[in-house]
Amino acid sequence: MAVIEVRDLYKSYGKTVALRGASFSVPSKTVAALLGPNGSGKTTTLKILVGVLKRDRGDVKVFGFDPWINGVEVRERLGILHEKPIFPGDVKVKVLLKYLAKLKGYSGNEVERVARITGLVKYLDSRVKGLSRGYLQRLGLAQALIGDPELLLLDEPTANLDPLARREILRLIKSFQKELGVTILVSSHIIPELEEICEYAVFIKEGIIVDYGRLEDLSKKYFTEVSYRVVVEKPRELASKAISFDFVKGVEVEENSIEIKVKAGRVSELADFLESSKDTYGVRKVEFVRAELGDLYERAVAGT
Amino acid sequence: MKGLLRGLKKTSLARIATYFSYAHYRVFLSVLTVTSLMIFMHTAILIFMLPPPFSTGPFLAPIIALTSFFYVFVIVYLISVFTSELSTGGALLFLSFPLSRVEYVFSWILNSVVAPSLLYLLSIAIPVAVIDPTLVLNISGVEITLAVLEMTAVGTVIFLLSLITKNRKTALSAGILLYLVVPYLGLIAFSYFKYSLKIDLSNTPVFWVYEALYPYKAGLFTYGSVSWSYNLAFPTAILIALILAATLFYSKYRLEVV
Repeated sequence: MAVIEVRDLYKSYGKTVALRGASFSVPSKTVAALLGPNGSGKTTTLKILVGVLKRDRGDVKVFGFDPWINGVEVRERLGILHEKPIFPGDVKVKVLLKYLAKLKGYSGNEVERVARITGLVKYLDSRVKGLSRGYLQRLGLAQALIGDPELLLLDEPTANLDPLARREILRLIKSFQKELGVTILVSSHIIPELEEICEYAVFIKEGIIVDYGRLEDLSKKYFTEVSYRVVVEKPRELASKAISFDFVKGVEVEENSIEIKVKAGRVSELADFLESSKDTYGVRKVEFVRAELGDLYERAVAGT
Repeated sequence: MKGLLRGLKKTSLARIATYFSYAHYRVFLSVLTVTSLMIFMHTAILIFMLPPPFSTGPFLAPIIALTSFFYVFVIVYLISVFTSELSTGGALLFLSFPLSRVEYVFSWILNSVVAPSLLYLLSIAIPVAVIDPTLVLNISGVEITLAVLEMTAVGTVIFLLSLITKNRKTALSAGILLYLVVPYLGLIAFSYFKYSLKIDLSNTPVFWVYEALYPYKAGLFTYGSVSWSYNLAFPTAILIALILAATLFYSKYRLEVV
């Protein structure tokens, strides 16, 4: 079931058209990337989804509600980290989070919980203005996690962060999906970051959704390189056999699995090979790992 | 209008109270300082200028004229804090939580206009109670009511203008204009027409508008010819209700936060 449904969405700021007939959906329990260059309409889309911007026309449904009309019902179930969030500097972190938690009907225990998840416990008694850029971003994530939301919207979560802080934030986002099982829509223009965490993509360019869907399906559609993890009883043997095929670009051996990178458009050959050698090597499970998101984006955009 | 009222009915008092207390928490010290100063000033003035017993006239006029002149800056300052929260993105944080636009704006009206007006009232009531509670009998309730309503009515107009423009400078300039320039210029103009040109404007639409927005100052102008009663407060109360409805209507249907 789709958590987010957007159909034919238009939004302008005066003479500037930000969205021109955008349509996409995001299924439940998915980590989705909203990918596009700066100024393509990502932030506008997220603000419409949260109900702080009014669309000019089109249909928007989040959890089946129109966020502009039933904003409270929508925002009770989602958390959002805005791009460059503005926090009141003169307030203590704990106090700010306490008020925000109260708006969702939660007590101080919830503040402790989100502070623990985001590594903010040490800074609860600090004033917001004393936090570094990285910790401000953690505060942004902490407030978005209040109330255990079913949907997380993250707008450029790693923007303006140093490499270390960027890695930490990405690690946190990965853990949210794994441990909390939430649906996440991350907007970014930095492709490698999204590749690490997403399984679904929405490509946007100049206010138009170019394509959207599961990365596995998109990579089949656009013939891009993909990686699969094969859980197997004899990983080394399977790896040495696999590397001999010209449709395999690379193999990485793990404890009881191998990751196979397949050349663009040749997934069916891998499927045939694995099917034929199922019993020989004890193949138990094959799962999609990642696709070359950059390639996918370029091909999707080139097709428009 | 029906839809707006239905929307208002749905708004949660708990959320308004939560946001109100947060917004108030942020400005508490400055409001407390000015209110304490007002209490001190009112105490000092009341000790030296006690009105005669059971007075019904505007005997507090010199006190109110002096202290409200300073106190309105608190309202203008608070509205400008609200405007800057709207224009710089601070509002985005709270409006991304289960707080509706109507609840958010209503909390700010309470925080920036209603609460300071009531605190001003309190800053007169406290000295009265401390000096001698029987002094209450000496002070006309109509006078204080009109003064507080005037402060509230002008505050709501400035608030609505600031909400629509989302501009801090608008809040400041509208504040100075509507609190400190227009009422006194109006009084000077009406007096000039009445006493120099012998034209009484008190029965013209211009004066009615002035009277609705500045009931206390209009009351002072017509004092003697018009009886000093609570009836003077009705047009202002209606004006406040209309502006409030327009503000909430705008918040529900038009307010966007970028």
